[in-house]
Amino acid sequence: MTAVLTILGWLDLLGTAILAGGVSYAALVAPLSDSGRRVVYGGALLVAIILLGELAATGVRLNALAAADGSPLLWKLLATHWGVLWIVRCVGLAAIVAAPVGSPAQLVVVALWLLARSLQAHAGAHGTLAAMIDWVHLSAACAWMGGLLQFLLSRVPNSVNVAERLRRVVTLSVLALVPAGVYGAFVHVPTVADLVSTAYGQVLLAKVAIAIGLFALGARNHFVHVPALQRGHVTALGHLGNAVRLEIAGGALILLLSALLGALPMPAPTVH
Amino acid sequence: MHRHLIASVAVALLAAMALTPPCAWAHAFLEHAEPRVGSSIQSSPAAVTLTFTEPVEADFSQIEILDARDHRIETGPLAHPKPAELRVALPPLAPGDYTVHWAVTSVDTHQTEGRFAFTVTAP
Repeated sequence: MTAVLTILGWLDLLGTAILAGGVSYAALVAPLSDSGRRVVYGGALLVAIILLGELAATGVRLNALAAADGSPLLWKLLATHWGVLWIVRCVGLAAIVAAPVGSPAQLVVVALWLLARSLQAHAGAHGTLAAMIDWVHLSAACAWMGGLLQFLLSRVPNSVNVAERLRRVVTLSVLALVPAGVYGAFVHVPTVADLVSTAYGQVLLAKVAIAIGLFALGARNHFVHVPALQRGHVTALGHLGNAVRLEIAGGALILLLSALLGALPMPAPTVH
Repeated sequence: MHRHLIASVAVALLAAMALTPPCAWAHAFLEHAEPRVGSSIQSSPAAVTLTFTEPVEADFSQIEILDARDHRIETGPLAHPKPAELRVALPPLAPGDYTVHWAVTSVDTHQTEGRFAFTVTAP
């Protein structure tokens, strides 16, 4: 079941990053290309399918422990903390799709929609503050990864202005991502020993290692490729495109590890 | 581009299978129990109260009390006095060893279960 939850969580995160990142790109960087717009709606469709899959998988998982009071499992499930936020996410998804692409209203709805996801997941079980920090982390990751994907799909990727605006968004995202991630690590893994002795800690370490590689790639884009593009170097665009593809692949792997963290038990405290 | 995408997906799926342990439920852990875990108490407790590290869903949680012969003790209904606390009222217990088996669902729907023993030394 952990494998199923991980795959569902991963597809959920991929769809979320494509959708939310695409919206933030359209609002903050540049209008979406036709293919970029199709990918955003594809991300929304993926999330819609996964939401249904998550409801079914959660119902199957919880069925054995459901109180035998005669009320249908579905209503009982939808009345839980998770179920209420599942409904909020469904309604939010519909509102995002209905809003004009890249409009301020759509950006606000996306932000609230991401908050619902953070409240629904591991972080939400730790309290509102942990969920808010996770929200910052998730929003920044979506803006980063979804933005890079839109940049690749853009019909005018050689626009220096677009690259410059994306660089600002990505830099701000990384600045938000790192402290939020470090806070989350301290909340979820209370001791250093837990980092190496538990599956949760080990996956977190793997995620951090890949993230460091991505930061290095991003730094190269920031300090080398984009300035070279601004200076008009003909090879800069090709180098930038290759680095962005690698970043997106690494980002997909990080989302997979994040999904696995969402399914794994956190280090247990001592019982007294 | 397509080849890169397929390779990324394949690597990610393999990593998921390799990194996934055979069984891993998360994640509301037992933080405190009354009667205490492994304790001996002189009189029959009025209730078993379990406090977890995180809020739990009472509709998807259970507490079962078993005597030394693994016979189930009839308890009162499961009460949920606080978000992270569950309680069942107990009938008067005869002296002997008892096991508390709990299975709970945290608010993010992850399930955990466990058991512990306590002993009643006098009626």
